[in-house]
Order: sequence, then C-alpha cells, then structure tokens
Amino acid sequence: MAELHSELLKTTLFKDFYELFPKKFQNKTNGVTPRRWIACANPELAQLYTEATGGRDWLVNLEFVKQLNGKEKDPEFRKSWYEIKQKNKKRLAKWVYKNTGITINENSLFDVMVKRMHEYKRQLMNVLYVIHRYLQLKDASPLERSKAVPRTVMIGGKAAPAYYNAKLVIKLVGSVSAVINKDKDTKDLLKLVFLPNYSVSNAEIIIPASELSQHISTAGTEASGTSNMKFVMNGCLIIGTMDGANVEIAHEIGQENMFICGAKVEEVEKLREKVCKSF
Amino acid sequence: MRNSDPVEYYGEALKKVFDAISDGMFGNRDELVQLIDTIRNRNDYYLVCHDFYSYVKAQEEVRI
Repeated sequence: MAELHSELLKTTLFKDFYELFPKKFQNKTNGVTPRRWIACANPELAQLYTEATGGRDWLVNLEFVKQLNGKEKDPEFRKSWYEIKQKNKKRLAKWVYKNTGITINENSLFDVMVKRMHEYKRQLMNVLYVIHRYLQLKDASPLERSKAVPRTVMIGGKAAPAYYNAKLVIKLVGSVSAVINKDKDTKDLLKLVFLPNYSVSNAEIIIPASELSQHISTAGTEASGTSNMKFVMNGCLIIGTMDGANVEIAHEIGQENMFICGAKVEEVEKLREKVCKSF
Repeated sequence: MRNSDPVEYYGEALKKVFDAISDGMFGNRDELVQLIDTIRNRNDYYLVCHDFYSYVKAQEEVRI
C-alpha cells in the first residue's frame, strides 16, 4: 500500500503492534508495469518514448522517462504526442459507440474515471459535478457557452453484487446520461457515458485515450490505487485528492501536473465530527 | 429537531443539484433520492458535500 496508508495503520489498526515492534513496519507502495501499460496498451507512445530517450531502458527502469523533460517545447515531439493521443481517442470513441451506441466528439476533452464502484472512491461526487456543470451550461448565454471546453465524462466500473448504494450510483450515471446526452443546448459541450464491463483488456483501450483522470477518494481511504499510475504513464493529467499513491505521484511528477482538491488526511477526522454534530 | 438546516452544510450549488434530482429531472426519482439522501440527510461519512466545492474549483482550473 501507499506510504500514507502505512503511516495511518501505525496509528490506527496496528497501533499496539507498532508500539511493540516498530522495526517490523516498513512500506512498499503498489506498482504497475510499463510493459503492459505503455508498451502493450499504447505501442505508438512506447515507440515515441524509445526514440526520444534514445533507447528502451525506460521499459525496465521508468526513471529514464525523465529524459523527456524539456521535450514539451520541441514542436515535432508535441506533434507526434498529439497525433498519438488523437489516434487513441478515435479508438476509444469507436469502442464506446460499439458498446453503448453513444457517439462522442473525438475533439472533446476525455475526462475518465474507471475503477471499482465504491462510496469511498466518490464516483457520486463526479456525477454531482456533471449535473452542476449541466445546470450551469443550461443557464449560460450563447456567448458563455461558446467559451466552454467540450467535455466527455466517462465513468466505468463494477459494483459488488450486494452493494446496493454502488449499484445506485451506476443507475444515477445512466439516468443523467440519458437526459443530458439528448439535450440540444448542451450535448455538444457535455456528455456523460457509462463504460460497461470495465476490465484489464478494456482498460488498455480506455487509459491511453484519456486526458484527465479522476482519483478523488476521501483522504485516508484509498490504500494505494494503481490506475492513477497507469494514467500518468500515458500522459494523462490527474484531478485528485491527497490520498493513496496520489501523494507519491504528486511528489514524482510535480504538483503542477495535478489538480489537487479535497480535505487532507489529518483534517478528515475533525470534519467528520463536525458533520455529525451539525445534523 | 436535528437536521434543522442541512443547506448550511451542503451549500447552494449542491442544493440546486439535489433539487434537480428530487424534482425528477433525470427520472427514477425514488431510487435516486434514496442515493443522495445518504449524503445530505445522514452522516456524510465520505465528506462528499464538504469536498465538493474544492473539487469544483479544481475542475475549473482544467482548461485546455
């Protein structure tokens, strides 16, 4: 699990053990392999990494991709990067059409949240924001609307068979998507799609096409999370909370490459108390 | 009575969103109200309402 969670266990679940045997506690953060998540899932990007870093060393030691630093100013590199992303987006748009019947705009921002359906991961917060944005767009003047960046919000994941609230969130995604995707005023600016049957094979199509990915669990609840790593490897920006492996990713890639929000882990306990008292 | 002014807790923007759902804008009213009630009328254990506003702010920074 992530460092944040290991630290948390020392003061909560395994407090007594930690006091007895502090030396037995050490951290190993979960990981994913660039062989599958770059080389297999996104071979053209892998080729670009190889050309730009002058070798295939990055496949066994991801530190080598640091050599890409500065390339963002190279027009040719930017062009290849853009073309690869566009190709992957086309591939996903096709997949979405085939599996859901929904046509999505390949030039819109692909905003993706794929993970197990669970209350702590807060897919609900994502959908509430989509509704908020939809209501704002409905109220906006044509001029304001013309300034908005078109977005396709995709949410995917499975719910455990008896997890009723998680199933309700899927129901909410479906219900909201049915209404807003048909609305003539906004459908070119905002679409919501539920990606069915989220699995590794489908993730290999979804992740390389993403431009913004959401990892917004309540601080202190996500033991690590690894899809955030898969997205980052494919040049996708993260919007997320300071939870799980996001903390370490922010450290590695720099906070300027992430959109950070939400309560910090040390604030959560107090906030919960406040919420209980206010009701 | 407890829960005298929940709006104070979840704020104006979320109120609009909750109202849209409970007014039946998206259909399936009963089930969807049941879902949002888990955060607006009971303990919002995962702090969805609290974090929503900083989340909106972060989302507004996202412009390409």
